Amino acid sequence: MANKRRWQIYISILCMITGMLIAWQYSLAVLASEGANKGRNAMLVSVIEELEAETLVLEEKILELRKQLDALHDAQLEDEEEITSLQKELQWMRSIAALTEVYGPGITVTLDDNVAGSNAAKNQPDYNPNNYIIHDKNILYLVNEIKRAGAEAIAVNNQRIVSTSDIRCVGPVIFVNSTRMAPPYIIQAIGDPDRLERVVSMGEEYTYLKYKDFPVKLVRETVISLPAYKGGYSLNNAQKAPEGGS
Amino acid sequence: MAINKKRAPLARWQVTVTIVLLFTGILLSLQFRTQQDFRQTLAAQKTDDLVVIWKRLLEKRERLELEVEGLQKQQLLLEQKSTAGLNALSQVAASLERLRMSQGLDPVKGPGITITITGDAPLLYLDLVDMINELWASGAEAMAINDHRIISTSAFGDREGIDNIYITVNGERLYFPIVIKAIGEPATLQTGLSFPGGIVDNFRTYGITLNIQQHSELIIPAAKNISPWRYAKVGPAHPPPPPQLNPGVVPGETTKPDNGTKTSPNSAPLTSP
Repeated sequence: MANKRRWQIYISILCMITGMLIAWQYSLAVLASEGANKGRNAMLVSVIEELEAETLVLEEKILELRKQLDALHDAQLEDEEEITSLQKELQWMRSIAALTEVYGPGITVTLDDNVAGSNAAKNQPDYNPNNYIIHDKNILYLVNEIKRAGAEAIAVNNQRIVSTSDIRCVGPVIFVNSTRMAPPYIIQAIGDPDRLERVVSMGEEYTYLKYKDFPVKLVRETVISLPAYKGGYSLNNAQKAPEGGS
Repeated sequence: MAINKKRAPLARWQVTVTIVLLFTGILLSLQFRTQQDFRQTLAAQKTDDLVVIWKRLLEKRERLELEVEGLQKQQLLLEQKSTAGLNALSQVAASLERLRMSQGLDPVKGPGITITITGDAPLLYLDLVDMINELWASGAEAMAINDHRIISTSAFGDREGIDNIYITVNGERLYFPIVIKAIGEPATLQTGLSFPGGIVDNFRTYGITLNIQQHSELIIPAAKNISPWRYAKVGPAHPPPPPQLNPGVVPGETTKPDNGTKTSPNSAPLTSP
């Protein structure tokens, strides 16, 4: 009997505590929901929650933008590297194509009509004035010899000789790159002055002109300056062919 | 001790108490957690605090928006730059390609003519110089002779062989038959050679016959090598050296030995050459 009563008391006490706890829990929950629903606080809370959502979106956006910017930056660096290397090659190509002014050591060859010889021979019956003037071929062949001597840049009366240059005459007038020339013809070449001097002075054309008493001279130069080629390279028919074609 | 005496009834109430205690414990912990959570919810905050939070959030949003704006501006700029970069890149690449073709660094193809000269012709190297010159004048865009690309430095010559003189291009022997390929307007190129009194007529008087054929497509190889410059440099020449004589200098000064002091600007031209 006593035992039974004792545990009943225990249970009762425990039940009471439990009941109180449940009540407390309930009141708290009610208070919370009531508090949230109360006017100003509720509005503030919803505004805050909205703001929080917005900032979250913004933060995501920033992250995404930074990623994109990094990618763009990397791509641009690559482009810049490529453009620098291309520009370097272009610079070299432009110099090879005579599109830039150049300077360096070399020679100057001056050719002029044989006026004195012409005057002296004028009264002779077999006088031919053509024998006393410089012809397009003289310049053309001399330029070929200068090329044989390894010239890196050549100009005739300041017209740069390029791959497609033609040296021709129309009547008595010589044209280089279709530009009219007048004597004296000053042919300048940049390269090894020793080799240029040796090859040209011993070459057929120079020797021939000297032999024919033309006032020609060859001067070694420590530095000469040649202008850029002012023309262009037309490629209306030529297209790039695949590598390895022959 | 009592436990030992009366096992069954004791066990029964003990079980009950245990269950109730367990329940109570769970409830307590739940309660504690709920309260903890609740304390952190916005609803549990005081109005003043809510206002502070709201204000901070407003500031934060503003900062973030500014950041986004800045980043977007950067992005736009970068994108513009990269388009410009790509444009520049393609422009540089295009002009480079044209130059490479024209200078013989790349093989080219196109319509043109071939000129074949057989071995029995009394051909001199200067005849080739003439012919190439004539073809350039007739609008040739690219040329090769026996697959030696003609470039700005190409030169013809001749050399004595064992029993004959042979023609060279860039120092390399040319073997017959010599075939010149020229890309350009085929009819114009042919006319450039075969007009009355032109190179064809001229060659014929020496007994050289040219076999000229027009082609709708020719392929001209690239130059084998283009040697880098060793003497020529890009740019205007350096200004000429200063005059040797400077009239402003007292003659005695020129003979004065260098005493280590800084030279006056007056005497600089004298000491520098």
